[in-house]
Amino acid sequence: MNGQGPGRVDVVVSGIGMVTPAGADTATSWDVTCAGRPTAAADSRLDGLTVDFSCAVAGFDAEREFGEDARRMDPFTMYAVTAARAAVADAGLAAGDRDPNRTAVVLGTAVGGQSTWEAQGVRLQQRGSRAVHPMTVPKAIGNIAAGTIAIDLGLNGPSLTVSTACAAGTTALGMALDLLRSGRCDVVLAGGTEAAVTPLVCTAFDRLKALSRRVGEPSAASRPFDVRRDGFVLGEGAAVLVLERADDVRARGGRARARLLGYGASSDAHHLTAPDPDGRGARLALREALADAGVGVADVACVNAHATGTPQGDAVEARLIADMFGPRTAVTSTKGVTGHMLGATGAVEAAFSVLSVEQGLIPPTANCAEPGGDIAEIDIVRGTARRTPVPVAVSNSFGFGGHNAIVVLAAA
Amino acid sequence: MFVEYLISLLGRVYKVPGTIDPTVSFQQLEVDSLSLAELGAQLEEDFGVEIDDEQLTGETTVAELAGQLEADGAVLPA
Repeated sequence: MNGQGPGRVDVVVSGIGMVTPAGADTATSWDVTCAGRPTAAADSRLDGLTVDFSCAVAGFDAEREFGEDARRMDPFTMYAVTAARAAVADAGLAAGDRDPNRTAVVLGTAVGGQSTWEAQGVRLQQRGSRAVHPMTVPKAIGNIAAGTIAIDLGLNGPSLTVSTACAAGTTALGMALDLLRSGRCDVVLAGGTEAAVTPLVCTAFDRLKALSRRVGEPSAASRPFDVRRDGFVLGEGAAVLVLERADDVRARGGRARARLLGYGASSDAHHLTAPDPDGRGARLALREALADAGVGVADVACVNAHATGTPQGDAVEARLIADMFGPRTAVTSTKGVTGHMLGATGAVEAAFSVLSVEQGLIPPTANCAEPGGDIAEIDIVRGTARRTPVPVAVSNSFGFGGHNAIVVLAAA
Repeated sequence: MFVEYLISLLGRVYKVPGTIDPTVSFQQLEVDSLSLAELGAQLEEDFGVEIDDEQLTGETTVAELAGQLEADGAVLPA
């Protein structure tokens, strides 16, 4: 491999922050994910519904993180700001290290401040217009997580929000890459956030028959690629990555955790919710990402698959991976542990991929006891985490609407 | 008694700095219109009263708002 595409600027990940169902910080999230411990459990927010379990964020203390300001923030903003603060601290970025006017935020979210909209909708129905809180709009609009990060950290560059459903966290990384390569910005905080474990969203996904109905056995419900998979488990969380040009990180004496080598995106142009059965759109995005990165399929040691545990989606993706990479590239879906965090999921999985290339460790696909007969022959990491060099990793994300977004990460 | 309550609330939640003089208006205290709307909603929720828009404007003072709460029968928790 030549390490990067022709004439490209080298962009690196210098910091990571995350809040996930596996933990309220990066280290805990990674440990639990590598241990393959599923986080799905009964969720009191969903009491009485057909599907009453989720992968809820664990160990997050809103009061401790935000004090009185917590009342003004939807959870999707609190997760994002917490992840951003952690990412900046991890990057060792002091205020003097960056020009705030050239520091950007790019966040993905599929749904936005859903619990706020929903709670206020109930108040309107039950108690009338006077009961609707005047802070509803600034708490709930989809861009407010990115806006609040800019306010919280004093960043004056562009702050953007992208919405490509469950690919949004990965799309954000691709847009950040372009901002850095073009020289428009010097530092980008990029990632995704979601907090849509609400009665309405959960019921709506269930009505689409997208969710696992393994009620009574939630810890076994999220089982990507497994023969008994029956849908995904709704998760929540956020991840933010600090991205900078490699030269700038060196100049400030910082540390690159991994390189963001390439990005590819496409649209299926096929169906509202179902993937193209031949995986044509995803294949296009994957080819583009590898070409952008300047790597061949043989260079890729690990694929962090989108695989959410739906019967159709996992089978199409497995076929694509088998066709492109053959049976020897290691494949994992960390959603067996975290569930599907929608617009946050791509960012969390890209961050896990950074840790994989950094540590030479691939987390197992939790609950994948026996790959389905419809799953093509691929090397799924199962049971325990696999220790192996990972010079290059690929992270796949696909979303309703036919959005495909894929990033390529490499050891620094 | 609501004066002390409001002064504490304004400092803690609405980040009004320094010593708060209850005879000055919210505008002078630099409490913006979004914060005023939020404050009104919070007081309505906490005390079960109705605060109309004209009762809580930039010209209203902390003391006037405290008096209004008392007149409306709001009761501070013991």
